[in-house]
Amino acid sequence: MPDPVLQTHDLSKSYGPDRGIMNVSLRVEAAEIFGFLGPNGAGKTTAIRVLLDLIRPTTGHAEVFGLETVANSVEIRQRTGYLPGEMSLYENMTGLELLQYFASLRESVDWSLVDQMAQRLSCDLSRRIGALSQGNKRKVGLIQAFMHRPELLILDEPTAGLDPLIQHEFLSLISEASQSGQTVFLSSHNLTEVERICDRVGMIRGGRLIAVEHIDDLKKRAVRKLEIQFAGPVPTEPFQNLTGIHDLMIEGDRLTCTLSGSADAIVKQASSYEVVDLVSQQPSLEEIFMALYSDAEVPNRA
Amino acid sequence: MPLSLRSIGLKTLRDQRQSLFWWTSGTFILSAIMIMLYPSIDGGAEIEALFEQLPGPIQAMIGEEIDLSSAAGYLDIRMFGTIAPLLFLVYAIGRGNAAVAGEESRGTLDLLLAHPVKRWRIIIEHALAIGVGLSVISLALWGGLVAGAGVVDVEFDWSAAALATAMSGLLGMAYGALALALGSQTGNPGIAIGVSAAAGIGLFFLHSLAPLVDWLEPARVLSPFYYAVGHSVMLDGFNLPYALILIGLSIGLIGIATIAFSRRDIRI
Repeated sequence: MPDPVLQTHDLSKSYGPDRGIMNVSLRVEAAEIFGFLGPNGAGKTTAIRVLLDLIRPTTGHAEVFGLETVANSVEIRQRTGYLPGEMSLYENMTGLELLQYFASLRESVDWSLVDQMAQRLSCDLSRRIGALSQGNKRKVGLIQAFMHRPELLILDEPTAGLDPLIQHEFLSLISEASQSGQTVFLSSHNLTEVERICDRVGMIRGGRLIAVEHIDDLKKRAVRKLEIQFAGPVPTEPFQNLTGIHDLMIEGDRLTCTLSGSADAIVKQASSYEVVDLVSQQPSLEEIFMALYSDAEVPNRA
Repeated sequence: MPLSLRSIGLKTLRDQRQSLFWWTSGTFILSAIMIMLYPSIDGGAEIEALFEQLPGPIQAMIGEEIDLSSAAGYLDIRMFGTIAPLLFLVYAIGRGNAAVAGEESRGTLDLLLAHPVKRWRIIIEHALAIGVGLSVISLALWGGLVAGAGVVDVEFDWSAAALATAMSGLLGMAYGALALALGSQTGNPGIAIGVSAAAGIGLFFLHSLAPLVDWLEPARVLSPFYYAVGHSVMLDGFNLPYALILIGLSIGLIGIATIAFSRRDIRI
């Protein structure tokens, strides 16, 4: 296995009871988009700020590009782009001045990329930041994170506050970055957006990393609820023992079951009767996680 | 790329270009007016007589000895004994606070520190920016005296006035460094400004009251005012060791600031 771009080892940061992160161990490979998923206050931002050496771990440690974060923070930050979750920019500067200032603190900035991103995100860099809306400030922050084509992008809730059109544009920017070999570590509580672009997701709750999974695996293992409404009562036998069907229940003209894998078998079987309605509910990532790991978590607590 | 955006220190000065303009012009005018008022109280034996009647402690607070018979004595008491240190302290404490505690409380420090800059470099560049700001205001203060003296035809030793201004500037720098160190340790503007201002007032009174209280007398040397204004540059000449003590104090506090800042977590 090649060296990971980012790795944490039993990383903990405590701010008193129920705050911070506990024993988080994860690795992010080169050129992947890793989604750090969890509700607000779960510890996503804490983990990210340790990676940038804004805060120091209580125990454990983290490595980025194989470098220990506390000792080598300057080199790590040279090669990393960061978008803070709760971002404050210098209000008295224009967007361009802010980018010029931050560029002066770095080795090299690709100004053609700045122009290109400003255009794609329709961001006016000549305006004073104080006069911009939250969404437009966020765009300046995004350009700032991308402008030196960093090897690693650390994005804390990147699409929060962006309107849907810009959100879409921005998600393509992230995908393109990953295609060109950049690694992306993003945090989000937005499941749909994570599903759309991430290769793998880590789920964090209450400061603990519950699970790390490939999105594809998760979807394969995903269990859906299926409900079929027939025109009249149907027999039970033809639907029993179909592959991937569990918890089958037939009450008169209504069939409910849970389905894993392909729906082919049951749909073909159902087509021998008159189907009035067919509802399949795709659970959210969070439900999937909870279904897969809520039981597993219990013994750990004991 | 504009020069003013090329480093943290230059950007810091750029941020205060407006306020520094007003500080400079205000100081220049104040200082010119002060010297232009001198002829109307020159030889004011009445004032001296009045002063003699004041109780000792009040005399001590205004100035240990009063000599209004010369412009030098007047400047020593009025300008370099109170107004100049006060101006420099207010400016420097404000800037020392803004450097770290101010940025941290506004939330802009997070993104700055996510860039490849060492934390000590941020402290050093801010300290240099405070030094430049104080130098500009010092120059305005001295320039105001020289210009005002030219208008009303008052004579005093320009170089002594320059050195006296510099001593007040060094005192300001020490307090700026104190506010910087407190902000670097706590990230809290209330503490950075409050404690620095309290230290300014407290040590000023320690300096002026100590001579009147026997058991407090030895503690006088603990006050930076003792070195900056206790020795009159205008009347008795420049005291290099005292200047070096003030410089050393600033360097020590800036050193503490870099260590404190490098060791701690940054708040969001």
